[in-house]
Amino acid sequence: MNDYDVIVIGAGCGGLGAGALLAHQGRRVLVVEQSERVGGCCSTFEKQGYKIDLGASIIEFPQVIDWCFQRMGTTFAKEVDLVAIDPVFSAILHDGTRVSYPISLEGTAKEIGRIAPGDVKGWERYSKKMQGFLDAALKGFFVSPATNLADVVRLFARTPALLKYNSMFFGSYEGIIRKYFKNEKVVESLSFHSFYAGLPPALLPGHFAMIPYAEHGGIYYAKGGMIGIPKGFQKCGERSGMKVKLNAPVRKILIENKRVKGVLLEDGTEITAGIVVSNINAKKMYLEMVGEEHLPWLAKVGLKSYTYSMATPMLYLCLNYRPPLEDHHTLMTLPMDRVNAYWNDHYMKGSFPREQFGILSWTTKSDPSLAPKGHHIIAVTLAPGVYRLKGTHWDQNRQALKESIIQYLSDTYLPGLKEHVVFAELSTPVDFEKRLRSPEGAIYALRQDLPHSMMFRPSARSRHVRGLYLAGASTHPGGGVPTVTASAMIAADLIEKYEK
Amino acid sequence: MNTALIVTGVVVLLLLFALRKKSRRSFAWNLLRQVVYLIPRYFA
Repeated sequence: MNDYDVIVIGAGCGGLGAGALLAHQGRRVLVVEQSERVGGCCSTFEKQGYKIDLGASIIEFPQVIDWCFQRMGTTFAKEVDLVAIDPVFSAILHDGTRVSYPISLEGTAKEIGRIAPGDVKGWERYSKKMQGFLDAALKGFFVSPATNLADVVRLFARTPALLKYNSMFFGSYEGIIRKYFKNEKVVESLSFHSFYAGLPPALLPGHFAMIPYAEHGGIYYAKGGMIGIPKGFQKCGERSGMKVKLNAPVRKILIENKRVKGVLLEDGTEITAGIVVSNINAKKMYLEMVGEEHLPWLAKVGLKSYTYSMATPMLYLCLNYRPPLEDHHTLMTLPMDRVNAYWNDHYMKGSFPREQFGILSWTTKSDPSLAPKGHHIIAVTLAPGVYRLKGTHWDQNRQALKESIIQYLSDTYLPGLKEHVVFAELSTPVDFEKRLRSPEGAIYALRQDLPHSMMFRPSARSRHVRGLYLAGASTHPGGGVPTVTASAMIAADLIEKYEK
Repeated sequence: MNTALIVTGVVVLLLLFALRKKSRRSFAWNLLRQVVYLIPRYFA
């Protein structure tokens, strides 16, 4: 008899969500996690009395996460103490103009009207189109498997309304935004959102243009830090008997007669199970943990052709003053053309400039208990930074880079910052790779353009190893907390169907 | 022969029109250069 029915590799939201659902199905589940805490990118660590979010700083599409909890007879709101964020975000444009978009659609129309009266109609048309797309996409696209062509055909057959929006899949994020908005300031305020899916506006498929609209459906912060969300899944799973083993990195997935038989941990421990769910980067998992000897040559070509998603350095700032910000999320933006140019001229060429754009996540605005009284935390999501810098290395100029970015922020977006830093930590793509074992520090595992999407992304049910299933950012529908939660539901459904 | 030339010309003009913006060209090029991997990725 096996030690467990299911072993889940990786205690991120996808892994814990899948583990909890499978435990709820009555299976004996063990989740193994290489690090000392759960959550992966959606985690929180404590340092000198400050609770700092590692990556994710809000969640969108709360309904998708709620569906996962509902399957276990509970709700998202019952399991996680959530703080609603309103306004959804502010933006400081490159010329100093400030905009603040409230959650209400009418309020946002009013704010757009303040800077660009001509674009109010565009906002209304954009909202209508995106609402229609979301109505069709959420229950179909997000939670249906896309393991092969038949699945995709079935998905569109079940949700024919999606066909109406096919042009969005074949255009770019930039094309869709520019179709509805003519004013450069409005376009600029929506330019950074494309990186929420990992690519610049010119390269990201157009259906992601629903992101700025979707935020108006509600965005939330987890009280106590974003780790509250994976811990919510963990609590649910543990109620059904799921076990979580931390500090347990996996070396190999054990395979016999083309079927999984368990995992081998790095300390030499063998744990057996008839089903393995991988919630780690699929390219790394197949090529290193399964091994090329178990893969047909065409699959090896496919796996090696995948490009890792972008990496994003983070600067964690712990402060002894109230920063001059208004909202939980403030975007530091550049005109859309310059964002595209940044990708081509800096990211692709291996440079990381001091002049920054990105997100200032003022988490203590939503939960003051994260820091000592009177102190604050800002997690700065910096511009995308490539793993391999040209002519230098992230570790080589970490201190100088950190100081120059703090000086830049102090001179621009956060006056007085430099004098009020209690401590600051720069987390580079190399650090993300070490901390999360995410190759090249990729935050969404693999790129999220069309040739890396749906049936072209690694299949949620392995084609090569029986009993091996995938959840997380590597598989459909992709990276992000709600999407990896959707992948957990897809994996649990497939296991229920194929592993009686 | 003439018809074929006219049709080809029209198609080329339509393509040039569709790709007149740099962002569209980079989007199309990104898709095009990965076409060769679609079949192997389908089996990954």
